[in-house]
Amino acid sequence: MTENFDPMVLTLLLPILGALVVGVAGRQLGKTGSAFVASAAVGCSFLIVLSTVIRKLTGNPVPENIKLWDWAALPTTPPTTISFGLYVDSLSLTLMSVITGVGFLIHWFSSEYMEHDPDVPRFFTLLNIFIAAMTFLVLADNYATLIIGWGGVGFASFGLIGFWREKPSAAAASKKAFVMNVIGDIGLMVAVFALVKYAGTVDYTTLFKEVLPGLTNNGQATGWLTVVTLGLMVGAYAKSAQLPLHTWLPDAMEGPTPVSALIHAATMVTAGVYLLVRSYMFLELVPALATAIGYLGVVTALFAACCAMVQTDLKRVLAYSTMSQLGYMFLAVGVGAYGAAVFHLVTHAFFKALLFLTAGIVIHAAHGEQDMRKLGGLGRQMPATAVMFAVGSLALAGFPLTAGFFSKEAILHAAHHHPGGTPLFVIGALVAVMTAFYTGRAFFLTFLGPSKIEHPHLPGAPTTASCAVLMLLSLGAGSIHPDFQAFLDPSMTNHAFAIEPGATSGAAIGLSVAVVVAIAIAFAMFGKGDRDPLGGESPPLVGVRNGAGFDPFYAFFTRAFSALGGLTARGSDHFLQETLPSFVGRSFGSLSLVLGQIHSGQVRHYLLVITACVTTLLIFSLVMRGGV
Amino acid sequence: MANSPEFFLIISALVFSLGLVGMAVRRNPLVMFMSIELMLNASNLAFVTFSRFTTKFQGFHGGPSDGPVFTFVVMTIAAAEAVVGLGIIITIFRNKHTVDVDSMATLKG
Amino acid sequence: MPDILLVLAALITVGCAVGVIASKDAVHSALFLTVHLLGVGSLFLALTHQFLAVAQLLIYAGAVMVVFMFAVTTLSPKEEPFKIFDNLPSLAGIAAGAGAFGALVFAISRSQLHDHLAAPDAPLVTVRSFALDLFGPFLLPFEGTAFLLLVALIGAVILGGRRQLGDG
Repeated sequence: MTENFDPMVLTLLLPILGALVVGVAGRQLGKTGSAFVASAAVGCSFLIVLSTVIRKLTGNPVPENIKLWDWAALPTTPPTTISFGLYVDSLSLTLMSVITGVGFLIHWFSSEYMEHDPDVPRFFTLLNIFIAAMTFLVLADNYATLIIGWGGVGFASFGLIGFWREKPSAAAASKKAFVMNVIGDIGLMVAVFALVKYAGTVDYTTLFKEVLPGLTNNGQATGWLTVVTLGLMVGAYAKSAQLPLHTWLPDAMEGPTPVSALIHAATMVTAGVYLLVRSYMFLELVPALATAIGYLGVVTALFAACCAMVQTDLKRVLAYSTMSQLGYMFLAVGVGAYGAAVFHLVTHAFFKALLFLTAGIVIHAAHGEQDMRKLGGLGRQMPATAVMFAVGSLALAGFPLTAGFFSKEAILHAAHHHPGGTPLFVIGALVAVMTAFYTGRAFFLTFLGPSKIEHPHLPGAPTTASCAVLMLLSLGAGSIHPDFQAFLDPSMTNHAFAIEPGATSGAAIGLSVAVVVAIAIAFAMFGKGDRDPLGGESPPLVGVRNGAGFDPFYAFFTRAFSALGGLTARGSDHFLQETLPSFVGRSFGSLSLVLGQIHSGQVRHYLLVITACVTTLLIFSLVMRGGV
Repeated sequence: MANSPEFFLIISALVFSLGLVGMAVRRNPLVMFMSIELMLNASNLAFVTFSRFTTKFQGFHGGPSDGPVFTFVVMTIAAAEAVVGLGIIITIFRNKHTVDVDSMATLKG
Repeated sequence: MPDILLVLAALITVGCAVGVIASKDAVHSALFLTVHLLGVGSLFLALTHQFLAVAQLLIYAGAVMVVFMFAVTTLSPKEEPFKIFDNLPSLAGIAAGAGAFGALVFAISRSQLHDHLAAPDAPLVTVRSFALDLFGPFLLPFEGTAFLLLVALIGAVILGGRRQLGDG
């Protein structure tokens, strides 16, 4: 511990403590107690983060590096160590606010939402483990310990997607998510190994203050920088479900809805964005990869928007929209608008968590039905939920003056002004229109039209209240955006975040109009709530709905590997483990049968053999001695 | 001639070989045991002979005593072996009502 | 005169050994063995070992032979047909014995006995000096023999008592 105990350490300890308490004594605490302890741990964390943010805003906003202890020695010359410490700067504090804030709201929501589940303590244990891992991911002060958090959120995600473990589809989805995430982990580890070997350190401060600025002057990207950046990209792409490592995210909707809201919308999937923003100096040094990130991001956004337009499952619409919005963030990272990326990350966390939670209310109300074609008319039955879902949808669509509008506009603005960014801008704008369209479709199909659900289950106070807070944030978070840049700046000492007040620009006005028109079109098509031209069963629609062939493509690999495994199992393994050992055993058996024939069991025979041998030995030794 | 090591050693070899022949030829386990005693006595004789005629070791308290100690141990072994061996033979006789060595071939492979 | 006595003792020893293996009756074998042991004892005496000669008389010719006679009379085995020359194993045994004897004689003749063994000028191994050696430098082997006898005693008791134990 440092002499000046920093309360930020508690933000890490509290969720760990919560997970331990709920995990060990969950049965004794009961459902309410577990929910309370877990929520309280995260809530206290949030208060600490909030106090630190206020301290930073009012005082000195320089990054703090809280070194706790040295964790491992690196075999470099001169020898350096991997420290176990927390890196508290504007970026990590922003992320921490989202993680603990939205995390607390979702814990609160879950305390009511999950109350009928028999396994509540396990749920909250995993949620707290997730918060702890995510906290550590964000607060780690070097790339090596970042992996601890990185792997921890992967584990928590695995456990929570497969929370209903009796469902085979949930188990399969959790496995898929884990495998995909491990691909990313490998990328990240490759990056760390390359850093240790070539940079001699993995520490943020050393890297960004000493190592990388020295390289910038050369202007030429060296090979290892490319390797590191590629490794970081692979990690970020797997975690943030970007093309082509995205297939796990739609399936991850098998988990409970609060999990989808917390992990697969608000926080964990944005870890990739955080990683790239944190590593922005690498991207500056390898501009080609930055451009690739931008293009891949916008392609992901387009692809996911296409998929989202034809989904029939309400949660899968939201999953694909998450992917699409993450594509926006990667687009922002690619064009160097890191501030815009983080800003969109924050607003997205608010409105997407709101959407998922209200979707969860809807699914509960509809007694587990998630198919939008079978939902409808819920607006009259549960108007408060409808309003909250509408606000979330508008924010997602980028309706003027909602939070999503500001952040999305900032990204498109940055793309527009980026050299060679016009294609990115055009596609991004197109995706924005598509987003407005499919969001409108989801809302109209679910809440308008004839009622199809009898006696919907109405939400209680905690769920409604937590959603209401998120609704206010989704509406109002855009207003902080001029201050946001000022807050975020000190993180990146030599790089200004490209957030400009874009709400007045021509593009913004054009975008607003386009969004409104798209929503109007969606209303015209789906407003009656009883007709869904995109929910049909024609082959192209089903193909896109199922992820446009990525799953069969990957399944080809898994089938190839399982075929290879079967081949070795039947071929070499059978030979090595069955045929060969039994041959050895049988040959010894038959050999001993043959040798056993020598034995007559007669004492005199043994005696004769012994005599003959000893006599021969005696004579032999005498003759060999010779010379006498 | 008679007071030379060769004399005693040849007697020893002769008795040992006779014991060997007895072991190989006789089927009565008691006689086979006696043959073993013959061989043990032959070895005893050789021990004492070597001890008596050695020039290397002249004993701690007068007279070489290493060979006699071996002989002493062999005598003890012979006694123990006679007791246990005869006990085994009697047990076998009780169980099988025969002591013909050739009929005991349980070890036959 | 001592030489004649020595040769006589040697002849008795070897002759009785032949008698042991050639007697049809096990009782005769046992008697021959007793005389043979006495002959060996006299040879020990000729080799100036008084103690061993007496021990041979007491332990072997006395105790061990009593056990043998006891076993022989207990078992009273039938006289076995003693056919040497139409019995292949017997012939092989005689051949082995002859071979062993030949090898031993060969070894005695080839060995450099006189480099290590000389005409006896060593002092007589008296009972006193042997006792001092046995309870002094050779105490450990002596205790070992005691332990061995104890084990043999336990083994004999168990073997002899098995029937009673087994029958309960």
